[in-house]
Amino acid sequence: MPPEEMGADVESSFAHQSDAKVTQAVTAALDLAAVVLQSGGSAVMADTTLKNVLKGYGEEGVATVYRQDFIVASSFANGQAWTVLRPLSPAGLHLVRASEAATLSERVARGEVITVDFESQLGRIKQLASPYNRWTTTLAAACAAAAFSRSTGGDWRGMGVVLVAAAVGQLVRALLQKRNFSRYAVTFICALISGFLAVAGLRLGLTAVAGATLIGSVVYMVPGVPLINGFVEIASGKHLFVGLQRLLDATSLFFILTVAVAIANSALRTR
Amino acid sequence: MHLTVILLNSMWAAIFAAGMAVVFSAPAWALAPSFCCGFIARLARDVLMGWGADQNLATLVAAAVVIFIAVSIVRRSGVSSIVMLAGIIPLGAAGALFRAIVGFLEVSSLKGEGLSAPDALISNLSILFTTTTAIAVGAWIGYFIGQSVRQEQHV
Repeated sequence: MPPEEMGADVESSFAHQSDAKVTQAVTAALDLAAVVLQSGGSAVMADTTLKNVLKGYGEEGVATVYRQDFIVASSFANGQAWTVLRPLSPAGLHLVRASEAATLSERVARGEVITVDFESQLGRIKQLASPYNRWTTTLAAACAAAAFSRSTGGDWRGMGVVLVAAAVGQLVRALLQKRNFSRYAVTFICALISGFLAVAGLRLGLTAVAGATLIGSVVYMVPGVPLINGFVEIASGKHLFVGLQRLLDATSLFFILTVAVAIANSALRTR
Repeated sequence: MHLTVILLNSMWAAIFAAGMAVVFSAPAWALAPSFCCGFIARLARDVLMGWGADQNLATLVAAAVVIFIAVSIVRRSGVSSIVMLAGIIPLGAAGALFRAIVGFLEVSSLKGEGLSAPDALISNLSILFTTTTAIAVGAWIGYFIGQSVRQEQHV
């Protein structure tokens, strides 16, 4: 890839005489590892992906540092030390994309994908849309929330309240995400809406099981995957900082969820 | 706990896992395995706890079993086991974290009464920490067993 194509994505300190092959290999590896991290994969999985690509390109011995907002790769080639930094946008959850990226890296490592193919395959993965439309996702989130409330001691009528609260919240969430609202704003607004509906159900006497109804109404936004990824990264012993970052991020989102539900609860109580 | 209750709760956990798999944009073919993994995860944990196992140990074993099954299933299809991630979500301690944060908010307004609130906060945080650690360690164990079996079969 020519240096001008890397644009603002990459802050590089390549010397002009450094080997273009190394540049290409590391850029390709970072691109694919970034896709994994931004699609819900852990740093452990991203690192495996990166090393697979480097292996396929015959370039090993590259040191990497992972953070939630960037990846750094560093090496020593042609008598010069160089470092490439790849900034990351906020992580989302797109398991198809993460899976395809990991699979592509394995194929590169086995030598089944040549350089030219890699670029087009990477472009294809980045363009992958969710296999489900907005309505299917809304229905799934609502059913998941209702099932969660039932499995944690909720009653049938509470399940109905949670179903409606989560469906409306998820629908608004999809609309706000489409308009590029920040993650924290989306979480707060949707938790407030779902929380209001759940509390309204409780106040109207539709159900008396407060805990399962309130938690169930916002469970579709609970950052369980970042939390598990954070612990997996810490347990790996190699990605302590990114693991801690994820735990803090997940805790922040949990905090926002709780505050939003508490506000909904207080607002309806004062009426 | 009666077996009927365990099976029923496992069924709800399975629906929860399959629903979250859709929210996570897992491929369509992974929904049924995610459903099964969610069912097995909750079933394994509840059965082990019913036999007297500690909750954290039960969660660890359940996570290991589910990840092993996930790795075994995706081995045939040749894709990454991350598509089955939703299968272990029902084991999470979302309720404990939620209660912990509510407790945290309440602790600031205590005026001498309700001294049990800080205890509840610490208890919920402890549950969250140990449960999530158990899931992470269990997932590692399941993954490594799955990978080892895979490598032996390739050899």
